[in-house]
Amino acid sequence: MKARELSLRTVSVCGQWAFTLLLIYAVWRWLLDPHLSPVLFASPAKVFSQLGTYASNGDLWAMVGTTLSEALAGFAIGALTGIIAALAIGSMRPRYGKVFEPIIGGFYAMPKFVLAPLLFLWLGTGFAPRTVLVTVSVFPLVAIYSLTGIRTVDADTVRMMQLAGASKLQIARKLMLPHTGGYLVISLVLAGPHALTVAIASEILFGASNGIGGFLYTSSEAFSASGVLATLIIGTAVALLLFGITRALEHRLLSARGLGRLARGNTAL
Amino acid sequence: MSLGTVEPATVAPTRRDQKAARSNDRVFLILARLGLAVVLVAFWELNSGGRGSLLPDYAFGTPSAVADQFVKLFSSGEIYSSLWSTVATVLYATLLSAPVGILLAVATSVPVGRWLLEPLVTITYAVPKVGLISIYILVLGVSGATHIALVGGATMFLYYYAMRQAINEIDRRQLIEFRLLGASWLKVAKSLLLRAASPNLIGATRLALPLGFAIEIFAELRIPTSSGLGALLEHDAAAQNTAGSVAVMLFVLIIGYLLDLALGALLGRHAKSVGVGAIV
Repeated sequence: MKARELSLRTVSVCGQWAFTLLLIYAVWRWLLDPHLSPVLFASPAKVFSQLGTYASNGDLWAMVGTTLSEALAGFAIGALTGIIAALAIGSMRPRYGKVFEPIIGGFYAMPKFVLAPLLFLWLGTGFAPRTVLVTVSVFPLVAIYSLTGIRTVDADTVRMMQLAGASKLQIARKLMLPHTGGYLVISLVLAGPHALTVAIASEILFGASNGIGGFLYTSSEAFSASGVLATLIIGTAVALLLFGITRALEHRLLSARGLGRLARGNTAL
Repeated sequence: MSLGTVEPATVAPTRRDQKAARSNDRVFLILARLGLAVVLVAFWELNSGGRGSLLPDYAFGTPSAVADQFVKLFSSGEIYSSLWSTVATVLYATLLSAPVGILLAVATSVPVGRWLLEPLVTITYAVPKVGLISIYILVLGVSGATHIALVGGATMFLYYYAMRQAINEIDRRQLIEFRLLGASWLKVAKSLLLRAASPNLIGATRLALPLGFAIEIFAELRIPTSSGLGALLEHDAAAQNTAGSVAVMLFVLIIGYLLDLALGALLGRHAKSVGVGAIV
């Protein structure tokens, strides 16, 4: 019975997706394409031919590789500094720790793109400023969630470890980090797709010639609607893949810790 | 301890003592945070200067120059018009996108709507919204509509997911009871759905306004615009006025932080009034 239900569900989901893709194609091919100027919009045939060109000349892998490397580098640095900052503040007495919290809060609330003109002055337009922008976006997310996790550590257990002679580093490593695991997973799951979109945005802002954002920028400057749409399809496919991976990770890691799924919509950028 | 002696009772702190302790903590926190800010600014001022100094003024400005720029921005009134331009776009976009997101969530809460629309929502949610700027420029041109479309396209999903979560959490039995008692769908939406969804929607607003603010600044930096905080920032950066850029950046940071605090407090108060825990 269960197997039958599962196969029925699979058929329904496949049908649902096939219907949606066909609908998108039909609207695009017969409703939008004949009525919009070719300068503003491109036909599906042109866009798929552009995608084929990107795949055959290696641009596809280059653009995805560039964007993913910026996103991954920024994500790794941001996550690491976020955890370190949370551990540093969390290991202080709450009275003192609260003094430093507005620094993280400020980073979280600040629209990160305001840093772009200054980063342009400091670091130019290459890989470094784009990675910094991703780092600055990931850092507060990880720091806030990790700090929330650390603040839920039982104070008596910390005192017991202190009485047993544990150093601050040992308390952080043996008690705080494992306890914060669930919160850390949540922050990383939220920060992953966010890093990708900030990387794309920073490529557009810095007028890059490579990466998904860079191709979007150069295609729009050249009024190539097929280039813009083809690059958007690639960006969407990468984002969908990343969402799939993070959802699977979230499910596996959070359910292993007895925690529920996250609310969607936090990475709407 | 002999039987005749009495252990002195621990006196529980009175409400007045607790209030005094809280007030002391608050004063300490304010003074310590001010002290930290003074130390950071003093470090910045002492280490700024020409090339070769730790914080060269061509890249970071100096606190005194930034303060001068602040005075200039406020006395000329430039900052008010720029702030209003950015805030107005974000508000328009949010006001337009919130009902769309909410209606979409209601539509996908029924099986047929879910079957038809859910994959479409998943795909459009995955589209890098900032990447759509090129399409919007091509289709809508360099206009306010492009800004509103860009901001609204991103914030809509926050309301959609918040509303979906609220709908999923509604007590089905209560819904059936409402219908059996003869309540119309409008009555159900007003008395049950919107009431249950209000904490989620305030939570979504707490995320949507800063997100809209960030995207609007991105749009102002990318699309040639004459007004807005992003345009002001871009203007100062193009003129290599680092102190001006830093002043605008700090202003945006303060506005963003205050907005987050205000929305957080509003959400907390509302959550307390309806008897639920922290939402965001």
